[in-house]
Amino acid sequence: MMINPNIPEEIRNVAHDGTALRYALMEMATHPDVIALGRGDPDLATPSYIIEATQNSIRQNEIPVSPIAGLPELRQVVADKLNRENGLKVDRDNVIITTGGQEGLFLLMQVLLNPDDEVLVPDPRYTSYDEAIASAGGKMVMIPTDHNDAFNLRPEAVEQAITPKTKALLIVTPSNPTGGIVTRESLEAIAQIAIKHNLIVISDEIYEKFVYDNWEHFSIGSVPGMESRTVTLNGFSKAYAMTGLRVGYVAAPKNFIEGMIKVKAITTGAAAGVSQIAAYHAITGTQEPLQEFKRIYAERRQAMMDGLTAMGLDYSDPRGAFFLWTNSSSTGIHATELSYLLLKEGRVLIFPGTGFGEQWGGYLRISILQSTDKIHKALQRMETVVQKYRVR
Amino acid sequence: MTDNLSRPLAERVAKLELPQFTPIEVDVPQSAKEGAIQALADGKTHYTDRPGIVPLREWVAEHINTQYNLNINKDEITITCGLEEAIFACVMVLAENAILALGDASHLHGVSTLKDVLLIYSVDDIKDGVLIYLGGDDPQDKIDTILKTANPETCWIVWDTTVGQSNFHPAQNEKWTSRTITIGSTEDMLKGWRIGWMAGSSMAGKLRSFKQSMTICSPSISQWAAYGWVSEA
Repeated sequence: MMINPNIPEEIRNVAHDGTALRYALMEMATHPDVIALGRGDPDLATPSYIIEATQNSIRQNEIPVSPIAGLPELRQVVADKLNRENGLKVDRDNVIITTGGQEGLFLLMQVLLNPDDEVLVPDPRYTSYDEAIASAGGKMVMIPTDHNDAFNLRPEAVEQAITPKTKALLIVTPSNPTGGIVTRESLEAIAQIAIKHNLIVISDEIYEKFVYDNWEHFSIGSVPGMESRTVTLNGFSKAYAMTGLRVGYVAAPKNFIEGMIKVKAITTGAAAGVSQIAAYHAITGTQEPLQEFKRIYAERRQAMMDGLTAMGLDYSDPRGAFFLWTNSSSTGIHATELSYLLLKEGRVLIFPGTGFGEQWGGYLRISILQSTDKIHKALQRMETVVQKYRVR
Repeated sequence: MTDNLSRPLAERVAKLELPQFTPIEVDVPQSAKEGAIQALADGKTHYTDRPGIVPLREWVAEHINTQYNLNINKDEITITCGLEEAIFACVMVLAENAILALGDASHLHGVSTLKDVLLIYSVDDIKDGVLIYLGGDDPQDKIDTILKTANPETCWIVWDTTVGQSNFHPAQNEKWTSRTITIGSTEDMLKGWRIGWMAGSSMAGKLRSFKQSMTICSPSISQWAAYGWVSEA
């Protein structure tokens, strides 16, 4: 499918650049009535226990200036969590606190990659990985994933993509943008491939708290033999609905964390003390609100699935995260154009698949980060637009 | 977990130094505390606008324009995670082959290594593509020489407002207005809250995009704390 030349220049000019395309659409979404199903920013309020505890810390002058690596007490409780929940064998010195997960990714690529090193990346992907890899002089090599197995990462596809220049494999589970997960069976097989070919595995687990139905989240770093070759990336933004605080973390062997500390001192310095205190309260307080978040997201996910099915749109099994990776090719409209039309005429902001890889012009990434009522309203608007423009 | 990764780290890492940390006590101004507490109460814990919250950007624009008699718009300003991120973005986006610094350049060693550009100290060494790093404590005669001899078609100036006290600004020279980025921060009063900025120039959009690719936006509560402080100060 080709992009209609009549769509505005500000979209067409950036259609090749996933990140710029997503931002261009967000900047066009200025109408107050727009229902935003684009960005992965939870609409739910940050749990009140985090807010209140952080306010008290501020009142009591308990906002410290942090070392570059992060507050020692936060690094410790993150290490404890990774041991307890993810089966990693880490201590405080294996953890660095970053200014959001995205900075973690940037830093770790700087520490890992020499020019021309190759990184295997599942396709489709969150395109901010591109910038992090390119900034370190690395090259991305795409690994195909498939709608028919819910975009699970297949071990044989990983092995086929390995060359003498391959240094690392990026795994994103649950996945942005597909909502798929990499199953435990696949991860265990991929771990053996990583060991055999001496690869580093970067495991982005930022959506780990949101896995649905009977699926489970599994951390590849817990597989025996992977301790020295896994870099685990995670953060507080998605789990605790506190994207604005900008707190992420990376767990890895100590020499790698030391390398990250060196680079972080140059890029942004330590993460903000107040944000780290909020993160400390988040991880040490009651975790019950996360169960409620998950229940709400599961309900919205079902509403979105039902609506898309009624509209005649197929989607990949959304096993985790906040997204439905929806096959829009049956409309006959290129996803970039369809996203524009949905925004302009339907006042619904949805990112086209091309925001996650240029060849995904037959897909949309639809988030569930609005109330169920708004999701129903968005579906009605979408149906009107799709019916009007569907190529028959 | 084992101490070492099973593959060697990138070569650039060996050239960098491990930072030292000395704990310090800070007394946060009441107005900043109130700004942060109110922002938390208002649920301002989600991503802010990519360039930063509007009132803080408006304050930065007014502050710069008043002090230096310039005409910078809030839309040319990006709030950064401290001064470090502003410096890092400028070097990564603008330095082609070298950074010129007249004074203490110890804070530029690491970033010049990461970018793989030279760090130079003499006005005589200026050539095309150099990023010129200046502040209010640099000798005025040398600054004047730079403004006369450097090529404004290929060079960029970073004007660091956190050093020195001066009403002079390179962007007052029309040749350099669109080639000068003003950087600053609130770290002197809000240490550890990590708020800085970069302002002005024809590269404001690209600098903003680079920052976004690193950290998306700057910490929301810190931005409101900074605004609470500057609007009272």
